[in-house]
Amino acid sequence: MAGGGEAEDNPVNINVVPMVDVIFCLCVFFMCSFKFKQLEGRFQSWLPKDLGNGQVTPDQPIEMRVAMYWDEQKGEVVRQYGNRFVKEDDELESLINGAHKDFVAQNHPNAPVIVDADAKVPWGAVMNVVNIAKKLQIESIQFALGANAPSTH
Amino acid sequence: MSKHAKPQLKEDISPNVVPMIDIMFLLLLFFMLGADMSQRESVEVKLPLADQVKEDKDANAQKDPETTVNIYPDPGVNEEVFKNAATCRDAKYWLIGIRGNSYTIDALKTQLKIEAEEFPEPMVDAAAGRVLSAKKVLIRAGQFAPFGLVQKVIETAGSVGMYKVEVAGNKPPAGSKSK
Repeated sequence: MAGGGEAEDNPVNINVVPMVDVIFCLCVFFMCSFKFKQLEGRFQSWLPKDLGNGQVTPDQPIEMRVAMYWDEQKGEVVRQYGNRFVKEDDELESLINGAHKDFVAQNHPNAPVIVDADAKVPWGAVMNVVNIAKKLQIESIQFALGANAPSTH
Repeated sequence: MSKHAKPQLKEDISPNVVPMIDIMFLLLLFFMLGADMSQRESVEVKLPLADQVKEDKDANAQKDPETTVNIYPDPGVNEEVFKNAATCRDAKYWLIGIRGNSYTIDALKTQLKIEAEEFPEPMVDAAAGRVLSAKKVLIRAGQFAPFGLVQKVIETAGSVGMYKVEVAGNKPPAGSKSK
């Protein structure tokens, strides 16, 4: 540490005031520029190498498709799973979970969650669905573009 | 002068500054170590919250080459527009940028092509029928950014052979629910 001994013991008196000033200035500088960084993370979302050209749509799609639209009038996102409009995250989670369990039982454990959102949907809402899927340990998540807004909801 | 002059009191008021200097040094050290002085590839963006994201703790130790594409609010647009999701739905309010330079989708394709060719995979990929890129693309899009823009970036990355796409999110603060 900086100290030790009495001042009288030390014949050389150093004027510490300029040093204290400089340290104060440095402290103020670093304090002002200091920012608590929020932890940032990432989801892997690797693309199919063939750009999806090789995929064939079966009669009975093996997928869990969440359609999302931006409601201009209400200014909110509308989510649809199958024919059902889903507002709450918990409800969507249980729907996806149920479907995932069914696919696993039918020997399709890799059935993907497809987020089919229109271009205006906020990215945060899409990430929320991805987050729900990841919570359910579903690794295959795909993005589709161009969900058509439902006529009524 | 009187014979019994008052003896002059010589007060020596000099506070001991040593502990203060110690503390200030510690504070200085704390702030210096805490300060992020590295040149960041990322722009200041309010990322969506997601509690399942894999943390970037080892970002500096990461070996895989990576290009970060940011989708962030146009600084030329009034900040108020970005406070509400409803007011910033139009793609024109947002910019796509790499290392501080903004790109149109066409220019982005050209840039990503250059980046992709820097790290080609060693062999032709059988499924793709061409040499793909080993470089990752990290997409850092603002939480209110329109999905259409993110989709375009993903599509562009795929078209130049960059299939290792990752999307960034923030861990929500402890106790809050991700939305």
